[in-house]
Amino acid sequence: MIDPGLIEECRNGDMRNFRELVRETSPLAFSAALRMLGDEEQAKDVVQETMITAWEKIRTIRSAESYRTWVYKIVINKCYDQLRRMKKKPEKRADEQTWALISNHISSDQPSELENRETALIINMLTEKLSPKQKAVFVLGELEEMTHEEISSITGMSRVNVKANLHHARKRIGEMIKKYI
Amino acid sequence: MASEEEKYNRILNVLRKSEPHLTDANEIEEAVMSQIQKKRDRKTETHTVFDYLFGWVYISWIRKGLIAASFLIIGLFAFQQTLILKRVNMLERQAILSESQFSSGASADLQEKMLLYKLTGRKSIEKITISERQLNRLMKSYDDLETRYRDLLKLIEDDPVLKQYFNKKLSEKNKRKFNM
Repeated sequence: MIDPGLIEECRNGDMRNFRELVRETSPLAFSAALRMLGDEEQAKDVVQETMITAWEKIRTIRSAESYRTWVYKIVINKCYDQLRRMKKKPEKRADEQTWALISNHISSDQPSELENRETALIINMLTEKLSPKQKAVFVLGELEEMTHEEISSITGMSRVNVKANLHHARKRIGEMIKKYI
Repeated sequence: MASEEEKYNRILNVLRKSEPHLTDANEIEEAVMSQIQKKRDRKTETHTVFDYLFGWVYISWIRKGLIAASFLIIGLFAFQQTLILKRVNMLERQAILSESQFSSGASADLQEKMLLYKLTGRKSIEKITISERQLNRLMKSYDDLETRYRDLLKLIEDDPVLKQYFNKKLSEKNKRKFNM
């Protein structure tokens, strides 16, 4: 939970404690970025860019409560840009090893916590057939456990669109699971 | 064998449980703060210049207006200067052209014409000095003229229509001379 007083200070132009805000905001920005991009380095770059944009525009947010949603919005937009750039590069195909890793984790009764690299790999494999919008809805809805309303305000989609995209994402991931696991 | 949905939920649980950890948060923090500092410095530099120039105006919108006006004046000045420079260049080029017309090709042609004129004896000039090169050029142009004359005559002889037209024009000319 980010300290609302800190956000309020920065919003009112007092940027002396902005470093503290960066420290509190970076983990949530990194989590969403890594899950969206599936690459640690790129996710860190997105976090940096997000925090600089936040520094430039924090005065424009309406209230301290809307800060979290606003940060997610910036992260998702930066991730869209990054995914667009990555589209030009050849995609990595799912290999046997990764599917074996996923199988191991879901078959054990007490699955261990994954490392960043493993998380990125699994999300990449599961979401490789999804469009950036579907990916965003899946990450925010299923992994970050946000409500449809929150997703709608972050992505700018209508609630119906959010539902439809989430349905397609689940279906496609289900097909991948059926095929490989 | 677990159902598809069960597998999906299990994968989701694993992924939810494994929240990504930002290992080098301090590094990112430093990078962000240094970039912000750089941006701030850049902003301050421009602000200092404007403060120095327009610091005496305390009303914000007047200061902004003055800055905009100064940019406009500088722009206009630059535009005018380039226009003037362009025109000066054009004028210089014109002067060179007319000078060259007098000094080079045209004058050589004129000299040749003058020489021919003198040689035909229409102008009473006592003494004519002529170089070997000029004489050769004269002979060459005489040969050229002769060849062209012969070609023209042949062309008229070969074409009856042209010959008829030519004779007609010649007789008309003679008639006019006679009338005069």
